[in-house]
Amino acid sequence: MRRDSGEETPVSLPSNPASPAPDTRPPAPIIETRGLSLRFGGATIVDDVSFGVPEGMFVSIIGPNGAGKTSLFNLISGLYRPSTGQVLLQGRDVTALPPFARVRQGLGRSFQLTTIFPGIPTLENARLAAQAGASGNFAFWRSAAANRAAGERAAWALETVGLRGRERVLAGSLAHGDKRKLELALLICTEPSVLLLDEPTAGVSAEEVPVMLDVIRRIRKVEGKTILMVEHKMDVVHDLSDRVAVLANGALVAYDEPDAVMADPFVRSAYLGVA
Amino acid sequence: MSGGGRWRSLWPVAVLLALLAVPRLDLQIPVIFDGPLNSPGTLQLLAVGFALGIAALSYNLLFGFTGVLSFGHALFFGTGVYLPTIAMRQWEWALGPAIAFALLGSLVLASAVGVLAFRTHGVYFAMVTLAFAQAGAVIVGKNVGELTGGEEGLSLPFRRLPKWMVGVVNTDNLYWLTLATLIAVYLVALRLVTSPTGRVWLGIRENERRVEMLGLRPFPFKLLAFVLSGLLATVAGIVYLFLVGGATPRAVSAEFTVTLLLMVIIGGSGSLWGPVAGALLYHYLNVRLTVWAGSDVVADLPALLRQPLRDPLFIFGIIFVLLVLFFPRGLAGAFVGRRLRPFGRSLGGAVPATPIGRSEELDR
Repeated sequence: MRRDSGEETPVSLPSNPASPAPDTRPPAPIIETRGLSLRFGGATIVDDVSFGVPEGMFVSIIGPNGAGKTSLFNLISGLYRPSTGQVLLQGRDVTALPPFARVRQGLGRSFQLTTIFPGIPTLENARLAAQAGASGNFAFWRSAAANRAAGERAAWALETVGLRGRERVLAGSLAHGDKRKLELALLICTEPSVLLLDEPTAGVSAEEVPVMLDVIRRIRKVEGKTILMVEHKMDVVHDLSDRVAVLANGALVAYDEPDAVMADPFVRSAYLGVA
Repeated sequence: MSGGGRWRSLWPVAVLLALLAVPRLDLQIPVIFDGPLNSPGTLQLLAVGFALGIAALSYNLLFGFTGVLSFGHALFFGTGVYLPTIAMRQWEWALGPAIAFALLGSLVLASAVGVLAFRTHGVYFAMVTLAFAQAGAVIVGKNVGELTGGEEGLSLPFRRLPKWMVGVVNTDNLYWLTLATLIAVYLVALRLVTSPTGRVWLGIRENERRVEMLGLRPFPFKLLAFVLSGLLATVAGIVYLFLVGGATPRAVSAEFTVTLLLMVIIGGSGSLWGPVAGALLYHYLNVRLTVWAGSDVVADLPALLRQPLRDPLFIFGIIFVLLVLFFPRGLAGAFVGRRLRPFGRSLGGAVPATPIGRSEELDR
């Protein structure tokens, strides 16, 4: 593994702020993978995946169970180290960085299994997230409640995801759908530029799914975030996405606009199960 | 706030005033205490309880508020007991430098142990800290360098202490000193758990992965909790030393750490004052049950009952089982009840405790 990632100047990327020369090429992707592979023993989990996502775009990642979708997320967020390949965030190689450092560089991640702080109240969950995204976390002689900025940001995040009125409830006692929303609130508290959402509607009741999607839409439209989402519900994918990436056996088999992907004969047979 | 809120906030003040007044109260409380309240015996019993309360409180910063289970806490308590004794007896230091030496030694020791032990997680962390504590116990027990007095321990050279701290007649001074230290440590701990760092500790307790995915590296926060709780345990060790007048190997034993864990669980790991109450109750029962087990009442019982009841640990075991059964969240949990207290506003910074089996697991 190369050790230069932290200090490295972006390699030959047009968006390098140091070289604002007119450029006719498309904008550099805010997040990019290059030849990303993950192998355990003889098994290839993620197979040579290269793709880039321009800023502000909504990309859904679909594929059958075991296709490597979550593994790909784990590679991008740094929970797994790739066997080969690179992950670039805003043009910088972050492959050698641990997960928390990638978050500091603007990557937010939600999990398929809700990952919140169950034993503390909802508002305090969001407050901790807002505080974590700023500085002063080691000020053990100060009062946490005195950090008004964090309090306001937390209140705003809960409002954004529609959890107003639930502030004092222990996060662990929230309904499942509300827990999923809280996780999104935690994400936006840290002001990420890219969000990785791993099945945000998983386990959410049918009535709640549109509410959840509204929340995601709002985060996307109002906040202008770049979003990568793993999702199974095809109608959801079709409605929300600018592009759809299809994984099969760890490899990227299609990456295009939703209609084009749905029409692709290979995708139809491999994933949609249509002959 | 409801009408009960005002009384709730007056409670700690009332208890505090009562405790401060104890050395001047010539009251007999039959059955509970042998002598009058202000007798040296009773004051000593309470004061040692306070000192253990400080230790339990410091342990709970780590266990209850950061979710880290360490079996090495006795090492830092023992540092507070042994280093001043060694400095004063073997090297003839004055009291002030001896105390500073203990605190500095604890800081260095806790940092070193923490840096190494936090390379692991969970049970493995507990085992590594246990290994360090056992190493400390062996060093003390084997009298390495003829410093510690081995199994016999080492008595405090009283001529190096100010007069007001020495002798049975001055037990009331030591009582106040210990109580003042307990209050000071409590206030320090209250600040810690309601600080930004304290919130991150809670986050680590609840879900370390999520803390990491909010952009914070858990390690330095856990290390800070470990070092600060170690330092406060050393403070507890120092006041304990003044009360008992010497250092014995029990202070660094793994058994002592387990005792602290028991105190925390009895008192309730979700609050700051719970473990203090747990320590007081534990120490009280430990002392009084021994007296009771040796009394005539027990001696006159039929053999079947007499033999188990002769052993204070047997009675204590029963009481402990009952406490865990009826107060699963400890004494503090029993008082706070099911009501969710305003987060961090109440004295004690009462954090709703999630007992064993975190609710997070229910999701999965």
